[in-house]
Amino acid sequence: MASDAKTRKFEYGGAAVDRISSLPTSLMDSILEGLPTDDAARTSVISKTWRDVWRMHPRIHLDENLISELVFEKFSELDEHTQLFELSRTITDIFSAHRGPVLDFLLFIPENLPIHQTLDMAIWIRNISDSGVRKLKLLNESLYNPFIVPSHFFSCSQLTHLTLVNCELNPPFGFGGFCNLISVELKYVGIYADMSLGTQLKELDMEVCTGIEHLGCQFNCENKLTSLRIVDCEAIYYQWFECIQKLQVLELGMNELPSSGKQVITLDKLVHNMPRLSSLFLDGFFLKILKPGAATFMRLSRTMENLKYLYLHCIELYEWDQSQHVLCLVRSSPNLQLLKIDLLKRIKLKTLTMKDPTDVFRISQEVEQIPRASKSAQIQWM
Amino acid sequence: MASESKMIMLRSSNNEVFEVEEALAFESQTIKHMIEHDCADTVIPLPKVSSNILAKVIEYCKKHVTSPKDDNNELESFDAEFVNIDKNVLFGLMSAANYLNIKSFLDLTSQALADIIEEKC
Repeated sequence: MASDAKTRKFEYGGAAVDRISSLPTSLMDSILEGLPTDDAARTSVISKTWRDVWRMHPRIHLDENLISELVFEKFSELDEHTQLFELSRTITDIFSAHRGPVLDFLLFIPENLPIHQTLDMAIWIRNISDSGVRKLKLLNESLYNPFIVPSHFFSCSQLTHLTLVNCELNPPFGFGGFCNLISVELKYVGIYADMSLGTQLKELDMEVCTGIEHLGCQFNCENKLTSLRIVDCEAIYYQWFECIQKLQVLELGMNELPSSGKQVITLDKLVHNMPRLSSLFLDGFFLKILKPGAATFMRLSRTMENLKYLYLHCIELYEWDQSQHVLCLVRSSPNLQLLKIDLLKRIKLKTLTMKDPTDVFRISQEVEQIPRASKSAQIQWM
Repeated sequence: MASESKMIMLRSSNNEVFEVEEALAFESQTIKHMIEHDCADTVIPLPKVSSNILAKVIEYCKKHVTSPKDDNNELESFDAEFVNIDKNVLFGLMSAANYLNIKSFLDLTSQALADIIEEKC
């Protein structure tokens, strides 16, 4: 993989490189992890020791940089169909040359080269599934060509960290989840059948996902979620919030009003079961679909003792309900350290909904005057 | 076990003894394990760590234990300066970080060595 010029650069007599060779393999692995994949791969030509370490190195990260370098440097003369073939073959070669388990796998799939549609892809997934992969990131660039995750994926029983972008999940019937999975990030992912992600799950992040109702069984009373982020998904299922006692970080965003703008839950009921909440991120569109119950109360029924960071964006302070929700949240958080409010910028000059501009000033004054727990607590207006 | 500021004695490979606070020593999972499982006497011998390396390790742990959690910028610049040293000392630090099992220090030193290799590319 390395050309002569690059090989020379490693200076076989180089003291640093020599000394590193004498370190135990686990330390050499740590160093390789700090290098970009192509440089790490190049170390395999330095000596037998380096080659063996690289081949056994449990991490294979075929990230965007590496893939584009491969395509532009080696395959640029070829047409796209052949490029696809050559890229698949290169990745298969990497797997063949590799020895030992692959515990950390990242693959970037470029928009114009849908390698996920080749037969090889299923083989790579089987390969990492067999070796007990723990950290997996499949980053498909194409929105219109989602990666339909093969069945071997669901056999990755050692999975602890998962990121999927532009994928489709069709779990086998009765799939009970990954027993070691603690962190999941899903972006542009569609879920097509009921499934659990696993009972140990602590962090769940979903952005522009469909079919999230299929994850309902994730939110049973034994769940261990500490961080939840649901942004721009078709809907938010409020019954999920009945059993989230351990939650510390919550982000809910809609980015625009959902078609069914039903008012289904009050702010109070939403945060009622989250005594440990320390960070809360909400956007104005989400606040709009809350029942205005909180507007009639000055405070929430339960003080948010542990709330330290409150970040509200796309807020329209001149909308009565929104400003009341904001004030209610602030009043109920005596230990707040940082309050960030991002105002929605209206481009239109027509201000039919805008009340007296002095309202905005008065509300912002009121927010500033709410007593703070310490002098170091800050308010940031954006 | 006492939870007050207990002092721990560490002996380097060349027989120099360093006295440090328990909280600081516990940055090392190896030392923490030895103490919690009563595997060590009053002085903990560290035959694989020389005095000058041990002194630097203690300096790192002290900074990271005493700094306020939110001051990331200060810690980052401290870390960057800390590994801006002779390659041989860096090796020694990395080996010590591995032997003493101090994860953040191991990550810092291995990344520094990776950066040195990258510079050669």
